[in-house]
Amino acid sequence: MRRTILRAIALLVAAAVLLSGCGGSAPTLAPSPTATQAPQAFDLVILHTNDVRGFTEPCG
Amino acid sequence: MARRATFIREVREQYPHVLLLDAGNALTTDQALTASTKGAVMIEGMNRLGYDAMTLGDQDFRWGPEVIQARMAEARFAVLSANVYAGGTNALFAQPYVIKEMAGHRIAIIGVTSKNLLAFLPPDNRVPVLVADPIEAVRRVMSDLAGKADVVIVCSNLGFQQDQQLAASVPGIAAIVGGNPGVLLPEPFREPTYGTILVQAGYQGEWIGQLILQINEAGKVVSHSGKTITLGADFADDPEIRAWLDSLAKP
Repeated sequence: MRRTILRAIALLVAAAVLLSGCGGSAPTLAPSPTATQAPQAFDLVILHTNDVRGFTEPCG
Repeated sequence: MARRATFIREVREQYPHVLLLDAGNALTTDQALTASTKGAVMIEGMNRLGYDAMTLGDQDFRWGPEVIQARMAEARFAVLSANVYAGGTNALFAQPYVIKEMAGHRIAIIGVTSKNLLAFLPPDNRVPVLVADPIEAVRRVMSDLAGKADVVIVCSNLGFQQDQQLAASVPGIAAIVGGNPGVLLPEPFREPTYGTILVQAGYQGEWIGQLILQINEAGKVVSHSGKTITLGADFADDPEIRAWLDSLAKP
């Protein structure tokens, strides 16, 4: 009985590994920054501030 | 800050790819609310406005490096400097750059801090810091970024004169977003050596700069336009930021 349960657990684990596609794959390195879509022409809008010096309200 | 929030929201509604940057000296002041919180209120405000990155400015160190470290921990955006080191170590005080992806391009933003920082440290400062040559620091980071970034922006606390030197010394920088001491450039300046575009937007939150880079599929800037906007009374307060600021003013 105990052997049957262990065999069933082993089969379930093996099936899970196969279904997840993990079996035998090499460990992957941490990805370097890589664009996830094909580059497109675009407008990059940069809004910028500087030397705000702690002013939360306009002084003028 | 409430007017700035209104303008930022309007631009974000109009354009899908917006970066919001600060080129340093945002925190320290004799303004009561900011001073009493040692800059924490500014970080909270910048979190609420959705900043992507700020560069550590020389004057941001007036309360000492320990306070800056606390403020950095509170920020939900990248706090940058590629040339400030924790003294006695090879460790950078902040992260040197951040990379954002937009329209399939990797946009690197590098921060550099003025060497005047050392003059602003408090007399009782117990945390040593070193400030390395900023132009060499940008060169080093540009080398590190080879193959990792398609467009490079420098967020500089060096001042307009040194920004021009940087633009003339290091190729491959699309734009330098500058600060210190607070030059008001009404429109972008194109440094001719490598065609780098320089911008700077005044001081004390009275203005905000808008630079639009038209970037082609290869990641090259093919044209640009820009302006500096006075955040006058014709900009209504953003209601959420207004309510937050009013709540802070209550005793």
